[in-house]
Amino acid sequence: MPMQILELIERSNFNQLSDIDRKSVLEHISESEYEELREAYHNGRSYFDEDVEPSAHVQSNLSRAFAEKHNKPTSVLKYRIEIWKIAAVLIPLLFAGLWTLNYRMSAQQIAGIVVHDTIVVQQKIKEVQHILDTVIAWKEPAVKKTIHQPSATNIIASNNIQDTNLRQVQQMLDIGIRTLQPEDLNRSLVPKNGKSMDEDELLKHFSFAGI
Amino acid sequence: MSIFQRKNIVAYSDEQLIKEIECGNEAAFNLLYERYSNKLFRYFFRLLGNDRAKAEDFLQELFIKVLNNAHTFSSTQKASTWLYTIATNMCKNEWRNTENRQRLMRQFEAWEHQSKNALDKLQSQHLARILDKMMSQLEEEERLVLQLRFQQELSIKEIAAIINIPEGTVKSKLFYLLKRIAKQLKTNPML
Repeated sequence: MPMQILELIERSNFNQLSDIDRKSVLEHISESEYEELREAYHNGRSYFDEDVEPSAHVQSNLSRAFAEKHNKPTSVLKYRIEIWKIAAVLIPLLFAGLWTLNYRMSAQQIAGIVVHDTIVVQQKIKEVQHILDTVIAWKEPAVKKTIHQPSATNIIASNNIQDTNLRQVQQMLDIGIRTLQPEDLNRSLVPKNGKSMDEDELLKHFSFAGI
Repeated sequence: MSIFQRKNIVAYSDEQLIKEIECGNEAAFNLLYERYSNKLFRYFFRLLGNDRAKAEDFLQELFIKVLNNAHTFSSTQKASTWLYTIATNMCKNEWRNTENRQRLMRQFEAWEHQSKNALDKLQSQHLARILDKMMSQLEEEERLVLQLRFQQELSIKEIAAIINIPEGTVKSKLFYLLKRIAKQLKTNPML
């Protein structure tokens, strides 16, 4: 019986009870006792209803404990970022960096070729002026030139004239020039396919060898 | 914890949250704390002689136990029953320390003297004094039954599971305690 009375006490006043409930209650306790118990119940509830809350430091301590348990650096990295997000940012950056590096290296290589490849001269040659012993020279229409003829009787003078000619040609055309080597001449003068070289082909070979 | 994670777990039951804690979900841990911290703090506060600092220590210790023992939680259990069982066992261990019990009595007496001149809160203090005194005189089980029912509003079935006594015993204890409170209030009317 106490079990049933307890539920009734918690739920309603004596006046609110049904006739059957009232009859069963009155078999054990009086109406005044019932009301006293109900008052005690409410007093007991209000006694425990005190509004007290734990301090915020309890939760922060627990967050630290959680981080230690799961090895997470909470203070440094507060927000968890998935690996795929990091990869999504880093991989394009990595490729962009590699492409830029590759582009710069290629540009440097090209520049290097240009610097060293001084033998490439983009200059139109109009006509061959002379073939002077082992030196070739060509005529540039806009440039006035003076070429000394070597003397057959004076070898030393002839060599000097040859050097002078070389320098003059070099100055006139502002190009590199060197002494024609025997193999250049041989290669140039040997006919291909049994045919002798025409002037253009000869010019091409001479200009290559001369440069 | 992202907002999306938070939104997802808000609908989780307490039991699901404990399973998530086992998997290392911090958001679940925070949410469980939000749901139970105030209730459990009040539970400890009253059972440990209104000692705020001690109640906070116990609350913290309880959640660390949850963190470390989430894997032992059975899905057939109710989360609230599990939590209050842990809390109750912690209090029982504390009470078994007789020195502590004496300290609680001294604290109560000190509080009783301090509260004599608080006229504006006379009524509530009067009731509190009676109930505090009564609580300090109760047996372990009676104190737990009273608090789990009046403060935590747990069902008779849950209280029985937490204290590990039959449901009928819980009800008869509650009835007896109500009679005792009523008697105390009657013999100690407000000044």
